[in-house]
Amino acid sequence: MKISLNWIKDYVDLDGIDIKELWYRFTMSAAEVEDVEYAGRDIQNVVVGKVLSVVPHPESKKLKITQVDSGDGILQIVCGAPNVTEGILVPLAKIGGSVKKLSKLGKVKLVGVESFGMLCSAQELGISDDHSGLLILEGDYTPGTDIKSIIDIDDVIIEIDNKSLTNRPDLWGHYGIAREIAAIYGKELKPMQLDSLEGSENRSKVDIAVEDTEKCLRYSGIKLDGAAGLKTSINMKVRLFYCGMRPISPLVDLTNYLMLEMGQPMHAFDSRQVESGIVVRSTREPEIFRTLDGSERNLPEDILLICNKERPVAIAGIMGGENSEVLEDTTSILLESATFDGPSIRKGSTKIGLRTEASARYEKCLDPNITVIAIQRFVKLLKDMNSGITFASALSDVYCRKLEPVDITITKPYIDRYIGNNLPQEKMVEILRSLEFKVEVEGDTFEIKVPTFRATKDITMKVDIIEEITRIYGYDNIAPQTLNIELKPLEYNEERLTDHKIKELLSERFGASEVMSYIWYDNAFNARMGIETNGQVKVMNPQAQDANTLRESMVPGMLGFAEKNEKVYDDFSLFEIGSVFSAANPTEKCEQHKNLCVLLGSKIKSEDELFYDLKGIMTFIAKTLKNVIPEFSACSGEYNWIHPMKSVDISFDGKLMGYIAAVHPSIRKNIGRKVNAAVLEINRDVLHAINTEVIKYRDLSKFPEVKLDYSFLVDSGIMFDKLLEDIRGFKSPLLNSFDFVTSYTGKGLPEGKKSMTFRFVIGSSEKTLASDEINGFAKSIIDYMGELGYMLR
Amino acid sequence: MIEKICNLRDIALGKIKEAASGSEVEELRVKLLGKKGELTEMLKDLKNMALEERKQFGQEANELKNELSELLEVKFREISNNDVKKSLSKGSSFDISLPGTSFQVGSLHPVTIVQKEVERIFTGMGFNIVDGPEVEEEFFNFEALNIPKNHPARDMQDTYWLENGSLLRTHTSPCQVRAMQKYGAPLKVIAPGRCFRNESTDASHENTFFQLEGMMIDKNVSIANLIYVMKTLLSEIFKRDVKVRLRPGFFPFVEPGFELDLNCMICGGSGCPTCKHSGWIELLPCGMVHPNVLRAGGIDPEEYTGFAFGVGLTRLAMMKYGISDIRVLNSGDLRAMEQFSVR
Repeated sequence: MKISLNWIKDYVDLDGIDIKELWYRFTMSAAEVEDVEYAGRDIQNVVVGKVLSVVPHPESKKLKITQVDSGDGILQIVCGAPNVTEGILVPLAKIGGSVKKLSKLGKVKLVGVESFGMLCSAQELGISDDHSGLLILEGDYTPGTDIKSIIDIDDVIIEIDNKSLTNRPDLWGHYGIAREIAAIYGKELKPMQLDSLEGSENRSKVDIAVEDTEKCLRYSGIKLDGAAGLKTSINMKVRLFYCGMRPISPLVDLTNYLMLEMGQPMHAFDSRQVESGIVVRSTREPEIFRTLDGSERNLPEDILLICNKERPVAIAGIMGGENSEVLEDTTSILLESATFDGPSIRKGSTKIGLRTEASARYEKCLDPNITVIAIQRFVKLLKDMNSGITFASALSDVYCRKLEPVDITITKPYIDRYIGNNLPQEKMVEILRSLEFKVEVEGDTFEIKVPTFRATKDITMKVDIIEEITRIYGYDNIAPQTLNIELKPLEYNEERLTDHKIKELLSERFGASEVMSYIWYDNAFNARMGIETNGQVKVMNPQAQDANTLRESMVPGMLGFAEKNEKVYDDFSLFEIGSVFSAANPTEKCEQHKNLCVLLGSKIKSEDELFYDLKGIMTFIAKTLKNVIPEFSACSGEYNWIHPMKSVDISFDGKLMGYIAAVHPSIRKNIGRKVNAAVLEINRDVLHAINTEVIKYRDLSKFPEVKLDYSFLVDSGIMFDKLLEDIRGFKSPLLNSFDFVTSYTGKGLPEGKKSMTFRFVIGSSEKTLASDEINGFAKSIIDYMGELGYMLR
Repeated sequence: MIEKICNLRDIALGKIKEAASGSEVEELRVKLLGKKGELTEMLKDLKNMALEERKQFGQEANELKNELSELLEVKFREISNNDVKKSLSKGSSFDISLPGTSFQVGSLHPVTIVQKEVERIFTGMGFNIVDGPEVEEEFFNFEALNIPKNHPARDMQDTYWLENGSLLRTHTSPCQVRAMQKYGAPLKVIAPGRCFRNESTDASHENTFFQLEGMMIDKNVSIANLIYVMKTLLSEIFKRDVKVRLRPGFFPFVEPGFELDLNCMICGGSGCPTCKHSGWIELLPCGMVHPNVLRAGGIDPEEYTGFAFGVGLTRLAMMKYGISDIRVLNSGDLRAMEQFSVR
């Protein structure tokens, strides 16, 4: 919202106040000032000029040659404005002067004729966007008079962040802003000039019937006659323009001016269209209505309307109707000053898709107690335009839901404790009173009456009072206080620790890079890749229809990253810990937990290697985090990116944790022509829930161990798991442990066989093994294996 | 016999002195002290000697053996040291500038790095870390935070709604209520997490980003405490004294509510494009927890007060690393991600 400093000065004396500091303090105490613009600074050396003569330009049809009294001699000026005529007073920018977009004017030749200055339009003075002709000054001004002494071109325009005013309906007009400034500086707030409405009392009232008293809190109206020959003063126009509104017609300008001043939207109906009176009702079924901007609006049900006895004439609080707007021949108006329910207006304007200056204010919950004051103010300003205004009706005022001042009792100790500093009691009272709170002091207790313009929703309880005191006092004036808090310790967030550990392991030990992806699928990507998902958790209002499904698996997103990165990297490892979601159907509440997903992509390693890398990584993680070895078994996962052969389930203690899989070839080929890929996806919560295996220390053997490596010939069809189980079946008191060393297939082996090498570590805690004991062990293991069909190679 | 030993000694000493290479020394050792060496051979005669003579001769021979073996050792070391010196003095073509063995360096997401750092600072200040769900219920995201239906604040946060009536949390503030309900007062928690707003993305807007919620509740927690904690915290984060200012800010779940601005670190407050010439950067919203929110968390606002604040973790990471396009963070682009190898 834009605020004119000149306007503020109508109500607060700002003499001796530094303007920059003023807006800093306003930001610090009330609402954020986003921008300060010094209007009129670029307009220099412009005076009143009187056009003495106008003759056509010999060489140009458009241009004219004028002689202009500059008050300081007569100047020849070439002018192209269509409305230049003899005798008018216009702004004259002299040589060396500046106007919008033209600084330091010089003498120029226009189509061969010299021109010593420039006659200006309102646009060139920066006070309008009207460039249709010269700004003709009405009034009797001496040529040479500085234009800025006639028109308030110089002003400081402040842009306040609307967001910071959401809870302050009272700040949606200049008077409210002036009140804040007066409070901040401890200055007097001057009252507004009002008309007493004297002479209206004995007229008959306008018939106003409010049917929907939920949405209409108060409706005040008065009929005024004699509204002819009105003119909006140039300075009023400038203020409207500076505050972002376009002057339209005197009556509309005046309602806008009043809204900008008091924050109270008003509407002027042509009396002829509302002879029968006013009915305020809501639409019961959809209606079509043409608003004064010429648009046909489809109104759904439950929209509040202002109607005459026959038909709607306005959408309450949003926009008037074309059928009842004031016209050029309008001389009698019905002035509406009403308060509507904020949330209803907000809902209505969202439904219709029409947000206006008026609706923006109503949404904030305006104070119903200012409708009549606004009428008084309007009448005063209207009479300033035309003293012949008369009352054609008495004031009608239907006040359906009266808003009473809010009473709050608070004590100084309470305030001190909440602030953490002791503020002087007098200062507190002074601040509250400057904001028009009524305060009765009884010892250290304050009985406070909150003015209704603050009580529509903003201020309802004790802490609100504390905010008022502290913000005006200045948050920067509050001395920081260390705190003394005794805490019962909470459980430490172990999940977080698990996450951080996993991330460290993967990045530091395995050189993987952490990424973050969206929690919804990219349906288009999935389709392109042939990825099938069955996410049942749906977003109702996604940014794009392709992003309407929350992921049950992180793999599709990872594959998207793989596609992106394989173009640049030959070998890459990505991982992420993120949320996944599942539900039986879209209407059901979803289950959510965190998954860890790792993707290895490579043009160097085979997918088999990547698969085994992931198995190794998984084992490493489980061993490092939980001191356990995970169990791998045939993959039960059904996602179509899982390779049917090269995939395993990961579990521990019978609980399924996730899976490792080479990416299914039919999808892998879509990721990139040469890239191999494998993924690991586990439920982090299941991993986290595993009890860490306590480390049991074994005393070091005093006697050396012996390592024996044997390679066995194994049928290539036999899985490692089976072999392992068979070896585990071998019992010997000497065997401390055994490990898989390597496998070999290829030259030198019989057809259909692979060579599997194991290392057996044997020893005794009582003595050094003698060679016959070692040989004995060797014989027994070789015999044992041989019986199972695993011949020594 | 003694003469023989003396002779052998003289000859041996001369030869040892003359030896010029390690192999010569070794040859000498074998020749003198080896199994068939001269001294060994001499000792073989011992058995033919009379007891007295044998004793004397044996002693002499042993002394000589020790002496020679030490001399040989010294000579060998001397020669091999000289050899090393000689070989090193030749100069070499060894290229010390060839790169070291390459190990793949991994990386953490910049938000993770910043999050860990902030978590560490808060844990040091006695805060506990809590989490909340990303798919959240309307009650926790709005109602419990004093944002009833039709409240304009619901417009400010464009919400992703799910077909099942839940929503994607628009802020981490629901964690406040969940933590209060779970732990009660007094309470000192932070809740970092991912949030979602339905808005179109550009260089400075993302629909998915990280926040960190903080909350502290106890008897007599005051505005002055809030200012103290915020200042301390920011000095820790930015690793230097910071100048901050508090000004009114409107958030339904706090009263009074503040915007905390940080004195612009680029220009030091004199005004620059980064701070839009104001000298201040809007950094974090905070405020005293609204009594209605305390009540929603099951805490009596007459007995307890508290403050809450929100830190834009994503924004912090962008500030820290000078990332100008927010979209990079969710792009999975390794060219960007692999830069964050330092934590």
